[in-house]
Amino acid sequence: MKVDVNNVNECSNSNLSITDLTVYLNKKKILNNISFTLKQGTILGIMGPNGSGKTTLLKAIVNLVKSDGDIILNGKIIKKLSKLEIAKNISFLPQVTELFRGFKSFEVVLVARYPHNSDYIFDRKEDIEKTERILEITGTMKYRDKYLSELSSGERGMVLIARALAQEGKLLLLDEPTAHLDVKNQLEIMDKLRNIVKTDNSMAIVTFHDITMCKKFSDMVIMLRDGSIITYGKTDEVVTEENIKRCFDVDLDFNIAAPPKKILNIKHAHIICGAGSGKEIAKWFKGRGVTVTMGILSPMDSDYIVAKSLSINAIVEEPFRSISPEMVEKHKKVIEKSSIVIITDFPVGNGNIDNIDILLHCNKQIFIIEKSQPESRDYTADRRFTVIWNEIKKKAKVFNNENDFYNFIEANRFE
Amino acid sequence: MKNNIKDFSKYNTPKRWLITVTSLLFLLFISVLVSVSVGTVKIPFQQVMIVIWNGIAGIHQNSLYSKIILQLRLPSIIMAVIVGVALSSSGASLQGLFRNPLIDPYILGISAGAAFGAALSITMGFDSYQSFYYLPISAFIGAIIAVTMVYGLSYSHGEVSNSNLIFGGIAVGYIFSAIVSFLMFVSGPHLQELIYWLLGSFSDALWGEIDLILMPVIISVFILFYFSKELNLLTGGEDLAAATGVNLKLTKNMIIFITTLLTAIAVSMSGIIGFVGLVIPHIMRRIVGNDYRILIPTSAIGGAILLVISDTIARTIISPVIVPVGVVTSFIGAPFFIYLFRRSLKRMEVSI
Amino acid sequence: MNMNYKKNITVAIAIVLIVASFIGGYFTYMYTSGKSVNGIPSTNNTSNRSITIIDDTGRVITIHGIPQRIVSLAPSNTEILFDLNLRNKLVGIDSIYDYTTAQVKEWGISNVTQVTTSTNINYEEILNLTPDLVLAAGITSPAQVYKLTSLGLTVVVLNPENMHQILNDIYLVGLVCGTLTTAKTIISNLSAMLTHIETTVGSVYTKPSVLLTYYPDNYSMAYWTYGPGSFGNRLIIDAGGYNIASNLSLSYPEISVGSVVNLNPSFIMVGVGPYGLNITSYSSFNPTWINLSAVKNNTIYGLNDAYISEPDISLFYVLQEMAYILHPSLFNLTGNVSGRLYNGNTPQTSVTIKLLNATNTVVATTDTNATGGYQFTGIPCGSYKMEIIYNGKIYYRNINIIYLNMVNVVIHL
Repeated sequence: MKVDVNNVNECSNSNLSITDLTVYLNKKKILNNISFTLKQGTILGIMGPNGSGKTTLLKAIVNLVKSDGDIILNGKIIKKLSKLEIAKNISFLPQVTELFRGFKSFEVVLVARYPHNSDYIFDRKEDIEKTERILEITGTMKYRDKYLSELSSGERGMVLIARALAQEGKLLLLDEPTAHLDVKNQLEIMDKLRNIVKTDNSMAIVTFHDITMCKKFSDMVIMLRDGSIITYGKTDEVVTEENIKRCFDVDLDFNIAAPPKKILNIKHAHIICGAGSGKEIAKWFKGRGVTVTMGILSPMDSDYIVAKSLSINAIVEEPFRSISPEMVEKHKKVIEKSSIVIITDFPVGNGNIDNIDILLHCNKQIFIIEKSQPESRDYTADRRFTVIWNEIKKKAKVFNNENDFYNFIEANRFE
Repeated sequence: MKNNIKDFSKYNTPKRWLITVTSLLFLLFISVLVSVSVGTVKIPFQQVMIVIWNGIAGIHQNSLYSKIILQLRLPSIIMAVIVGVALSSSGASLQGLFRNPLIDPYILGISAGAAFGAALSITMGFDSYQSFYYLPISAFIGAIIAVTMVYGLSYSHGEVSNSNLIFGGIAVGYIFSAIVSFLMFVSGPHLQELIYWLLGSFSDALWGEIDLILMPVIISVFILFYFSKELNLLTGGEDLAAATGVNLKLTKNMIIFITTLLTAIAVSMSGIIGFVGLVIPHIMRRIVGNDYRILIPTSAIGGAILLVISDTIARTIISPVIVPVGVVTSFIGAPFFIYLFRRSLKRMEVSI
Repeated sequence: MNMNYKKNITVAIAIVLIVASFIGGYFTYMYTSGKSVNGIPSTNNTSNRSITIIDDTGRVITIHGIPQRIVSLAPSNTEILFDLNLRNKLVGIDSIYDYTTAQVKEWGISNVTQVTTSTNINYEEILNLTPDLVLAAGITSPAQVYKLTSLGLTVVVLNPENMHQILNDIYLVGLVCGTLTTAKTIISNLSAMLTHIETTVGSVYTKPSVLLTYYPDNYSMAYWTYGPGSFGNRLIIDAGGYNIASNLSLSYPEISVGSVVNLNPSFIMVGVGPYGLNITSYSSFNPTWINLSAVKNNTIYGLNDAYISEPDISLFYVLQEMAYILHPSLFNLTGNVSGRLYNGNTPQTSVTIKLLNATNTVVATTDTNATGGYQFTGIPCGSYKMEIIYNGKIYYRNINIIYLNMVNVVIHL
C-alpha cells in the first residue's frame, strides 16, 4: 500500500527520509514499499500485530537486513556508510535477551562507545565522562556497579536505553523498550525517553505492543500490517478506532483516554461488572497506571472484550453457565489482593449472584456506582439480590455516576 | 563524580591492565625458574643460573648440566608456555564468541581431527627415522580438515550460527573419533605410540619446533586481543553487537580461524592436552572479570603457568617415571571444574 | 576513512605475518634438523678407534672409541648385549615391566636404572647415566630417536625385520662394542642352523597349515595371531609351514573361533610359559576345540611365549622347534647338554636332574656322577628347562638345545 502523499509533504523539512523500503527474507516479502519521513525532536511510534514487520523495519533502517529503497539520515545515504559509521549515526536497541553476563551497568553503557573509540584498546577519558553524563541523565547512576541480572526489568530497561544514548546516534531505534514492564515502569521510561528526545532535539522510532503507550508518547504513528503501512501521520489524527480496527483486525469500542493528569496511588482496582457497565471505569483506571482486574465475566460480555484489548486480567466463566465454585474461589483471591473494589450496576440473576454474594464478607473499600434501583435489575428467584445489595450498600460508598466517582478517587488518597 | 572512576574496582584502566599482566608474567617467570631447576637430576640452583646465563651470553657449553637445562628442560618448558598460551587464549575467545562457558578449544572437532591425522600418520608409517615431522604435519592438517568440515556443515543462508557450529563440531568429532578408534584397532604394534601422542607430552620438544611456531602463535594471540572489544560487545548478544557497529562476520570468521590455527599448532606439537582451554579462562574470569581486553592476555599467561606447573609435576611427582602431562592437567583441572560447576548450580546460574 | 576497512587491512597484514613467520620458522627448522649431530667423544673411552656404521634405519653413525656405558631401550637389545657378554657395560634399560621374571633373574637386571615408562623416555635420566651408546629399537619413535641424537647421544637403532637381520644386528653390536669374535661365533652357529632349516624345508612341497597364537581372547571368542608382515608369520614360512592368518589384512589380527574351525589347521602352536598361559586357557572357552583335527591328531604344541614375542636370538630356537614339529621326518635334529652341578664350590653327587620341555613334560632324567657331572644326549633341539630337586627345594634352569652343539651348563645352586 502506498503512503498518503499529503503526509509526506507535511514533513518535507525532515531529517530522516525513507522511500520505498522493501525487504525480502528467504524470498518472502517482509516489508513492502515503506516510505515515511521524520523530523528532529519527534518520536515515531510503530504499531502493528505480531509479524507485521516492526522489528524488520528497524533492522532495515540500520542496514542489518538487506533492503531495497533509500534511507537518508541528515543528508547521508545510510547504505553507503560502513557499519561503524551507521552505528555512530543510529543507535539501535533490539530486544535484548542476553544480559552482558559479568559486565556491570557502567561497562554495559561504556562498551556502546565502540563506534567512537574502536581504534583504541582502552577507553578514553572522554568516553568515561560521556558515559557518566548519560548515567546521570537517565538516572541510572545508582546502578552503575550492579550487574544487569541484579536489576529489576525496569531498571534494566533504563540502563539499556542509556546504552543506546551512549552511542550518540541522532536517531534512536527502540524495539519494544517497554515489553515485559509493568505500567508504572513503562510510563517512567517513556517519560524520560521523551524528555531526552525533546532536549537533544534528536529523533526516535519506537515500536509498541501497547496501543495506549503508543498513543500517549508518539508524535507520529505508523500502523503496520503484513509489511505494509496501513496509516501514517500525526498521532491524534491517525490513532482512530477505525484505523486500529483495520490494523489489528479487532472490533473495539476504543475511546482513548486523555493523558493522565496525575498517577493515582491506588495499586490495584477490582471491578465487578457485566453487560458493558464496567469498561469505561476499567479504561479510566488503566490509563492512570493502576492494575485493573475484573470480576467474573462471561466471554460474550463487551466488558470482557475491552478487558482483553487492554490486557486486563479478567476472571471468565464459560458462556451460558452459572458461576462455578472454583471460579468463586479464584475471585475471592483476586479481591483479597486488590486495594479497592468497584461494583457497577448490572443485571443480576441466579447465574451471577455469586459475584455480589462474595462481597458480604469482604473487608476492602467498596465503591458502588448505582444508576438504577436494584429492584429493576433483580432477576434472582427470591429477590435475594436486592437484600444483599442493601446489605453491601451499608459498608460501601455509593455514587450516582462515574464522574462523581472519578473526582472522589482523584481527590483522596488510599492505602 | 570524576573521582568515582576509582570506585570501579574491576574497571579496566591501562594502569590496572599493566599491573595485572605484569604480575602474571612475573608469576610465569617464577614458575619457569622453578621448573627449570627441578627434575630427575638434581642440579644446584646456582648452577642452573650459571648455565642459563652462559646460554644467553652465547658461551659454548658441553657439560651434562648445560645439556639437561638447555637441550632438555628449556625446550619442554618453552613448548609448555607456547601451548598453554595458545590453548587458553583460544578457549577464552571461543567462550566469548559462543557466549557459552562450557566451550573449550576442541569444540569444533579439532582434537578428533588432529588425532585422526596423527593416527593415520602412525598407522600408515609416514614417518621414518630420516623424516619424523609427518606426524605433526598430518595432525595439523587433520585439525584444519575437521574445522573446515564443521564450518561447511554449519553454513546456511550466508551465515554460520553458533548452535550449528557446536552441533557440527560434535558430529564431526564423533566421525573422526570413530575412525581413530578403528585405526587404533588396526595399528597393532603402533598402538602405544598413538596412545602416548594422544595423552600429550612436551618432553620431545626441539628448539627447531619452537622456532617454527613461536611467531605465528604470538601474532595470533595479538589478533585475538585485537578483537577483545568485539567480544565484550558480543556478551549482549549478536543483535546488539551488530547494532553497535561490530562487523559480526569478520569477528566470527577471524576468531574461528585464529583459534583453529592456535589449537591445531598446539595439538600437533604436544598432543591433546585437555582442560587448560576450558578451566583457565574460568579462573581468570573470577580474578580479573569478564572484560576480554584483560581476560585474553591473562588467560594466555595463566594457561602457560598451568602447563609449566603441570609439566613440572609430571616430571617430578614419581621420578624417574614421567607421567603424561595431559593426565596431570586433567587431574588439576577436573576438580576445579567440578567445583565451578557445583558453585554455579548453587547460584542457579551458569557463570560466564 | 572507512573504519571497518581499516580493521580488515590490519587483520590481513597479521595473517600475512603469520604465514611469513611460519615460512621463516620452517626454514630454520629444516636447517637445524638437517644438521647431523655426531656422537661426542666419550670421556670413558680408552681406545682411539673410530668407526662409521649404518644402522637398521639407514642412519649413518660415527662411533668414537669402544662404548663402555650402554643403555638398551628394548628387551631384544638387552638379550643381544647379554649374549655378547656385554652385560657388565649395561647401565640403563627400558622399563623393568617389559621383561619377564625369568629374564630379569637370568640377566640380573633388577637393579639397572630404568629410563622409560611405557613409551615415554626419561631423557634426563639417560643423560645422567652418561652413556656412550644408546641402543634404540622399533618401539622408539622417530621423534624420540631424533631427540636423543640432538642431546649429543650416540644412538643406534636395531629394528630387524627378518631372521637374517637379527644376525646382522648381532654383528653390528659386536662390531660397535668390540666383541666381534663372540658375535661371529654366535652368528656362525645360528646361521648354520638357519641354513640347514631353510635348505631342508625348502624341498618340501606340502606345507602344513598352522595356527600360531599367543593370546586367547575369550571375550570375543578369538585368538590373537600373527598376520602378514609380522615376525610370527615369517617364522611359520621359514619353518616350512603355511600360516592360516597370512591372508588377513592386519599384522597382528584376531582370528575368530569360527575361522579356525573352517580353516582347520593341521598344527596349532600356542604361546605358553612366563606370561602364565597354558594350553587349557586356549581351549577352555572354545566349544569347537575338540572338532579340530589338530586336537584329534594331538598336534598341539606349546611354545615359550617370551621367545616368540621378541625379535632376538630366541627366535632361532623357536624356529628350530617349529621346523622340527612341522617336519619331524626331515629333521633328526638332536643336541647334547653336559655340565656340572655345584653348591657353592662343592660338586653335588647323585642329584636327580629332570629335563622338561615347554609343555612341562619330562623328556629325560639323569643323576649327577661322583664329580657332579651330568649329561643329556640325543635330545631334540628346542627350549627346555632343567628341574633339580635338592634338599626339598626345586630349582629351575632354562636351556636351549642347539643342533650339533654340545651345550655346557654349569649349575650353581
